[in-house]
Amino acid sequence: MKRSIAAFFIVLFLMEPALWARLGSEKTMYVGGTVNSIKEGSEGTSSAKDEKNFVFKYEGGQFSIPYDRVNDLEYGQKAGRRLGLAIAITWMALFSKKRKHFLTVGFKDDNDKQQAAVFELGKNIVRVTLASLEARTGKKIEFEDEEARKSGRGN
Amino acid sequence: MKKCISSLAVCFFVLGIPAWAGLGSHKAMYVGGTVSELKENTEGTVSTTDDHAFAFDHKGGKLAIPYQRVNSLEYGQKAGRRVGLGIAVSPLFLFSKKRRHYMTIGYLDDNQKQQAAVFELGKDVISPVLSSLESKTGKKVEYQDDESRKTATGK
Repeated sequence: MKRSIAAFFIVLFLMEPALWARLGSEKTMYVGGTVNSIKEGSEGTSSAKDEKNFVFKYEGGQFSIPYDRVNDLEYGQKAGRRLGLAIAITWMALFSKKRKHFLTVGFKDDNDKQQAAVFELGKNIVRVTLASLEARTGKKIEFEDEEARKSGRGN
Repeated sequence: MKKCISSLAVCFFVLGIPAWAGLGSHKAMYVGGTVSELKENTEGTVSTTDDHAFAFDHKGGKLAIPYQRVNSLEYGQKAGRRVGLGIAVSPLFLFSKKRRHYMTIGYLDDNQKQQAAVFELGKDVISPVLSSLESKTGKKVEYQDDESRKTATGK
């Protein structure tokens, strides 16, 4: 009995990063917007390394937004306590906050119609993505609030 | 069973060391940005001793950014509780904060295209690098918030 309890807690511990990380720290997810070609919730990777396009690669393909068509960049975040982890594993998880990072890219499509794409960014790529997009597009990021600015510039 | 638990605890402790050690205090890392010749997460050292250019020396070579081409300097940090170590090793870790320091340099390349490079700085090089860059580029560092300013300048 003791062994199985111990094993249960070890499994929980090993699962823990996955539980609190959700989206991989280097990953990107298309949350939604006006882009019909991508399914909401599609996970992949994003890159601003290309000199002409911001590229989002996902399982079903690739979506590119030319920098010169981007007319709006917004960044915001959603923060909440790790209640689930606190209940399931330890109350100490209440000391930390779970943050989700959202980037909205506004752009004109090939028909000059305004489009918007909302991406969730993994925590390790927020700062780099925002800095690169500002440099490539020449547009300034609009931060949702002071905390978002702190997180976006500091993350 | 006791042996099993104690060896598990030792494993957590050993695994925890890299987590709290982070980047060497005199080191720097290119985290990402628009510099195509550099791979993300390349570790090296930064220097402002040259009269003409900021240098990032790494295993594969050297990135030089002429001071006169720098048009923006930003500094931010990411602070977080050591939750993983707090859970795995000791709740005492929750009293300490792990800090990462990020500097973003915006500059024009040889083709007059805007570029951005995000570096993580070791804690011992933050202040000298930022103050040297301010004086050599003539640009003011934009701090993410007052806490960052305090960390970097002590004021």
